[in-house]
Amino acid sequence: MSSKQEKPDHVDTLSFPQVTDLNRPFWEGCADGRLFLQFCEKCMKFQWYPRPLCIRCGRANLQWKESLGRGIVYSFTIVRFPVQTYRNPVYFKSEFPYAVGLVELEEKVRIYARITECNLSELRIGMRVDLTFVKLTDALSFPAFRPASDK
Amino acid sequence: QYGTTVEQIGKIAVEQRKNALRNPLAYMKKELTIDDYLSSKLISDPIKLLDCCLPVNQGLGLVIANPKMAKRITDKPVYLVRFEERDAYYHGDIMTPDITYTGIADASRAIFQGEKKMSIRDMDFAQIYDDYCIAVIMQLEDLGFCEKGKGGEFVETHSVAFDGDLPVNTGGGQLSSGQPGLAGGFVPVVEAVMQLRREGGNRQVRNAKKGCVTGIGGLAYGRNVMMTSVGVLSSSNEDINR
Repeated sequence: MSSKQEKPDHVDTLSFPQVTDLNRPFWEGCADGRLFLQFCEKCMKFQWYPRPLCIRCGRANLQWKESLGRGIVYSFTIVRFPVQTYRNPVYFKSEFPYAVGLVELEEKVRIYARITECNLSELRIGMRVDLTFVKLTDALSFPAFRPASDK
Repeated sequence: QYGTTVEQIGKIAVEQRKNALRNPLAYMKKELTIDDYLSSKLISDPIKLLDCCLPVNQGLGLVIANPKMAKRITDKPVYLVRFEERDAYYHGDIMTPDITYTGIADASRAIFQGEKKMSIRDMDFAQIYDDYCIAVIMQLEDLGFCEKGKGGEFVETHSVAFDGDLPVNTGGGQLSSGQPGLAGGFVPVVEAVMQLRREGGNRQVRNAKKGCVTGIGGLAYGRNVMMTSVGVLSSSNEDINR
C-alpha cells in the first residue's frame, strides 16, 4: 500500500517538525508507512489535521484510525521557485519544480501533500491518487501521493 | 470548477495597470498588455509572475476621529458606515468545503442583505485587496457584483478601470501600485478615502460618494483566506449604521 523513496539530499538543512503528544501517533505511523487520522466516535467522522478536540462536537478522546490511503486531487499547484531564496533550505534546490496537492481522502478529509511519481503535465483535478511516503531520515517520513495504480 | 479563463484573470492585471499609470505614487510606470501577462513566467502553477502583487516600501496613514471631531479638522470627512469581519470561514462541510468562497461572501451578505438598506449596486467603486488577480475575481463574486463562478465573465464584459462600469483598485492596487508588506491592507483603504475626498487626481471616479473596501489575509488549512473583512466608506454621514 505504501512505499518509501530514496533518501533525498541535504535533509540536514531542513527544520524538522516538532513531535508532540498530540501528533505523535501521526508521525510514528508515517515512520511505519501508515497514515493515521483522528476519528470521533460520537460524530462518526474523521478530521485532519490533528487537533485536541473533535472539530464538530468538541469531544476529547479522539481515536486514531488508519486511512485507506486512497483519494482524489481536489486541487494542486506546481511550485517552481523558492519563496525567499536567502532563507530557503538547500534541500529544495533539487526539488523544484514539485507538485503539492490538496488531496481529498475517502475518509472525507483533505490533506496537503506532495504528488510524486508523476509527470507534472499529467496532473489533473479529480485524478485518483494512492498514498505513498517520502523518507527523510529513518525516524521521519511524510505522506505523499502518486497516481492511482488501478486504471 | 467554473471555466474562468487566463485571459479574464489577466484583464484584472491589465486594467489595474491602466489605473496605476494615473497614480503618481504607483510603483509601475509602464503599460501592461494582455500578451505581457500571458507570457509572464509561472511561479506556482497557475499563478504567474504578473498575477502577483509587488513588494514595495511605502508608508500609508489615516487620521481617525469621531464624526464631530472629524468635522473640525477637515471639510471632507469620510465615514465608515458598514464593517463586517469573518475569520476562518468555510463554505459547506467543515472538512470538505468549497474553497472558491471566502469569508467576504458572508461579510458581504451581512452588509448588503441585512436590514439597513444598502445595495452592492450603490457602490461607486470597489477597492479590493489584490495580492493576486484571482483574489480580485473571487471577491467580486463574494461581494455580490455577480454570482459565484461568474467573476471571469463579469471582468470580461465590464471595465474595471477608474472610469469603467465598476471602478476597481483605482490607484492600481497592490498589483501595480505596490504592496508595502503587512501594511498592504491600507492600500485599498487609503485609495477609497482619497477618492471620497475627491483627491483622486486624473484617476478620480466621477461622483464617487460611497464605495466598498476589502481586506484579506492568511490561509486557513484546507480553506480559503483566513481573515476577511468588508467595509463601506461614504462621504456622507447619512448612511451611518445606527
